[in-house]
Amino acid sequence: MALDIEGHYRRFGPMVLRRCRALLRSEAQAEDAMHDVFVALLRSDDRLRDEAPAGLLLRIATNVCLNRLRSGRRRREEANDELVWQIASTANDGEARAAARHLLGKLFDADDPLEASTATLAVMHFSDGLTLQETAREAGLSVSGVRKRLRRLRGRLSILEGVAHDDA
Amino acid sequence: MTTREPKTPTWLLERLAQGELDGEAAAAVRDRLTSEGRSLEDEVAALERADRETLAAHPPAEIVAEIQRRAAIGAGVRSRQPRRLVFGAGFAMAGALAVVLAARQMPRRAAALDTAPEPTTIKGTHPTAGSRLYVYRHHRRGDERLADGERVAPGDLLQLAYATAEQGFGVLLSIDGAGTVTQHWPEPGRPRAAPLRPGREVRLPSAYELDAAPTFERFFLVKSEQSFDVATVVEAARRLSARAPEARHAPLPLPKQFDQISLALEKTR
Repeated sequence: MALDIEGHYRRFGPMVLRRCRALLRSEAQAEDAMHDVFVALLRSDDRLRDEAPAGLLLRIATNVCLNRLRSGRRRREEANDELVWQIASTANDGEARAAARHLLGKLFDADDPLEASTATLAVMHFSDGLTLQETAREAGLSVSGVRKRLRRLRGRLSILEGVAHDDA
Repeated sequence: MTTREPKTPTWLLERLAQGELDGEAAAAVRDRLTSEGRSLEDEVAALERADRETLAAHPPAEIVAEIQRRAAIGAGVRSRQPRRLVFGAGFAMAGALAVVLAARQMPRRAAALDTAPEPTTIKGTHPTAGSRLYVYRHHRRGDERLADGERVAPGDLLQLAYATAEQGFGVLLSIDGAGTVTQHWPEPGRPRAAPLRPGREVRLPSAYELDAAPTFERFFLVKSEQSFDVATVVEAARRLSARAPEARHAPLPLPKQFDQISLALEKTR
């Protein structure tokens, strides 16, 4: 049976919008991103059977919002959350290269919107305050796997923080 | 770099409120909230209030239409302009499905309704996409939209809603397995059908608690372009409810100028 997108929106839409607001700090951008989150859900319908939908949607929302931050829809000076902006900007590996393309292209043609990117893991851990164990559980990864990915990102973040400090 | 949010992560609170954390994780969140001087019940209630406000500000029909439009368009083509969303009636949680049964065909001129996503079972000889009847079951965490044929139990708190494409007048009532007819809208005692509000989904202001009447509960939305007496429809419902087998699926015996939509629920003890 086709995904009941209206039912999902009614139940989870407000939560998704809150998540997008928290990351993007812009009501208009958050509303726009929220639509894309549900588009991603709709497009991934056949893979959603066994996963808790709220956790999945929070993860997709984080991916979508970070993509927006990376792809320049939100300028740095508009972002209230410096750490989230840095995380988004620093994920300059294959994830980020894919994100430089159009958002929907990123979502549906290349990377998997259902999977937690490294940047998403970083936001969950460093910004949301989830422990490593909680981050791993929410992402469906091992703790060591999360730690390894965050370690790589942490190095890049430190560089950026240093640059920002020197600039100041 | 350290974890920046000393409070219980909103992520976990959201998932707990949705009933997605297991017992151990949920207990940990509750303990953490308590240590912060916060109450899980208060936090969940605040989320529920926020949910209602968001759904009122961003009506599902509009949002879903836009989601479907973007999904249909695909990559790289959609507008980037954030939509201006109109405040209107919108409501909490839901499941799926509406049943449409029409006595005659109605013009299809409501784009918003035509793009509604849920599967629609169409019965009768003149199907219509112009009007819909919704039944929600209230839960502590929100409302579940019920499908035709879904099981309900005595004590379930139900709320009715409709959506229509056209101006007109309507009556909402139900019949049950004991042959009882219950008028839900307009309020009992009002002799004339109530004006319909075309466009978005409209929920009735009051809920309805199911009693122990056996076997089924069947809801009807009856509408007409012209105002009409409620008694006409109530009498038709009484006649139908007296015919035991047909009462579960047959249309109300009404003249051609009436459109009718029904949704039947199976009762469990």
